[in-house]
Amino acid sequence: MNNKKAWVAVAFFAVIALIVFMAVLLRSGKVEDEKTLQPQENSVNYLADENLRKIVLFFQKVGYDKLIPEYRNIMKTATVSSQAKQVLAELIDGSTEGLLPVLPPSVKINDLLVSPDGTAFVDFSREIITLSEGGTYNELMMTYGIVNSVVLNFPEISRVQILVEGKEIETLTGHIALDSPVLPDYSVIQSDGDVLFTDNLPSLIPDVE
Amino acid sequence: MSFSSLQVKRKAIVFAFVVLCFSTVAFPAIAVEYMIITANSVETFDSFPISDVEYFDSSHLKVLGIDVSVEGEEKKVIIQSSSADMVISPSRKVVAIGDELITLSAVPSFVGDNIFLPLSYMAELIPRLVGSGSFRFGPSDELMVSIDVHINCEKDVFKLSLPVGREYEKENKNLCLVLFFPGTRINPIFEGELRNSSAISRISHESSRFGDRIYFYYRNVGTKFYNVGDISGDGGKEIIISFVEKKKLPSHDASKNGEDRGIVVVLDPGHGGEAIGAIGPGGLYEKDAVLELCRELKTLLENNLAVKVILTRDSDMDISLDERTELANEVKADLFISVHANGSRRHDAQGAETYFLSYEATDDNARNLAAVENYSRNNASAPNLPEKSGLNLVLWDLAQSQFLEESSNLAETIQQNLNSYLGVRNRGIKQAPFKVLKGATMPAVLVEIGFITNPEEERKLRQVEYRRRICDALYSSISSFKELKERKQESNFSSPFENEQ
Repeated sequence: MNNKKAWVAVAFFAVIALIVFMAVLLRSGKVEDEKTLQPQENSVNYLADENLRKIVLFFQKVGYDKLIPEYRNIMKTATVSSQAKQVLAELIDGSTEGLLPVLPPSVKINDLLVSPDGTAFVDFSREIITLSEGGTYNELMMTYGIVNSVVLNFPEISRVQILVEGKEIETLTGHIALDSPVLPDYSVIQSDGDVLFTDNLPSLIPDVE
Repeated sequence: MSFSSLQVKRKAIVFAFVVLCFSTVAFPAIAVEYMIITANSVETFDSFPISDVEYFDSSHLKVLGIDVSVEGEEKKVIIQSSSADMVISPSRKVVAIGDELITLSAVPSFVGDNIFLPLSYMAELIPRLVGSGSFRFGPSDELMVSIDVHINCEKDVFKLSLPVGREYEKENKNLCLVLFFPGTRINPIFEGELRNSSAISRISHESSRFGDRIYFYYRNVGTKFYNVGDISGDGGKEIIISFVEKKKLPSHDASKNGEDRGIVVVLDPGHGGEAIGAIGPGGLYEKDAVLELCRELKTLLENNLAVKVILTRDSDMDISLDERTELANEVKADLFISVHANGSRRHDAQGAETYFLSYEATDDNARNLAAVENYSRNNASAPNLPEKSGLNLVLWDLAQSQFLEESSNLAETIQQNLNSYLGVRNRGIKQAPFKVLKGATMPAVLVEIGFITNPEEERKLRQVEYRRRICDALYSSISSFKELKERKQESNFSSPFENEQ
């Protein structure tokens, strides 16, 4: 009888151990599933005009010291962060009008999050540093090409924290401080008092000079 | 024994077995850190236990020039080096090296695309592939690298030479500076009392299982090392540490001279070492061009004006942006000028430019600025912010804010002089959030002496005469700054920051 009790006890603990273990297994499996199942957005036709919006990007031009605006359409996806990601992807992709890029073309956007206080956290791949050419001017064009392109298109975003491979960085190439979020700088845009036209932010560039 | 008890016993055995199996998966043996050390690199990785056998990811063998691949459906593992091949057939537990056959205790394992090899025999077999003596392979705590470190001491500048591939960390303590060499044994070095150094009294050396440390004991508490730079070369790395004893700061010396006290100017040649900066189409490096110019400007200034000029770096070495400003604060400089050469994708971009710090008008910054003003009012020596922690970190970032007006005026003067001395089209002064200007507790500007990416300007920057014109422009600006400061001091001798003491 004692013997039997002992075995029941062993079996009981074994079952509990097994249940706990299976629960852990199932849970980790579930997390996998959540990762792989992205929300399906295929039902929206993004080529239709009503699902596109006009945005402004900033590039460089021979003969001009400042950033030159260029307009194009992006898809009106559900979230600000996914639209901002498109804006940056277009910025990296480069000009369609023969303007010079502000970023090395092989830079990737690892992640982009917008916090409720209006800070966009943009995580770039390391190429933004390793393939940069150096010089304050290049760094200013890169930084404000990014910050102005992101902030001017989204009233929800007021400043940009640039990260590289998930980490805060001091500077890109030794000049502009990126250890805190950067506000847009309108003085680096070629303005001539033009109205910058964007879908939801028709903004007059302040005549800084 | 009854039928039911037999059944219970059987179930119990099954359960116990299942639990045992899972527990070996869920709680594997603890991984051990291994190292492969070659002449010029160290590869560390964790062992990967699979059912009681310690494995490792074969991709780590690349440091030894060994390539591991899988062939055919049978999953033969081919291990190749430049001199020999080895094939492990998973079904046969036999390895062929050349004509020799060796029986193995375990077979390779595959996880995803990675090929895992058992550690037990690989450590013995690898020398047959690449020859022993050229590398060391084993658990990290058993494999320490022994190196020779030579310490050279000239005045208060210490130079340590390190072999290729060795890294170090520095820790600044109250009584000493500690250099830590992870995973490294240092062969006996000079230890003991120093007589000819005014800053360091003693050097000592200590070993631990993680690596060795070298201690530099300060002669007086308050001595600081201000500048640790590395010069990397073919034969390894040279660490340069410069110690300053507080009492011997240059500004203090100057004050004893009586009549013309003069001013202290810190010139900061941008970048250095591995940080090359911008590169000209003809191959001129920004770090070299600006160092050359700063050296020339220092000579010009010291020969003609009552100024003490200190360079943040006087050789091709990398210093952090914070250390540059720290040095200027440390020596209580009156003026900080960071010198850079510009770069642009537009090769037509040209001209010299002067920048000063911009402050972004956010709520946060407004609050922080208020904190700085408060702090300054309560601490007469506020501009010296030695410890960068907590509130001080905020203050450090905003240290320059008190000097923005002076910095702006200085930038204006420099830009006007650059325009007239260089005869370039009129460019205005600009503002940007420069990291190197943020912590400076004195008027501070950043001068771009020209676009090194513009072929014409690159050519000019190589010419002594052209650099002399830039130096003249800066000389004349610093000279007017000095005059202005002296006039101010005469008319207004109780400046808010000089009440104390």
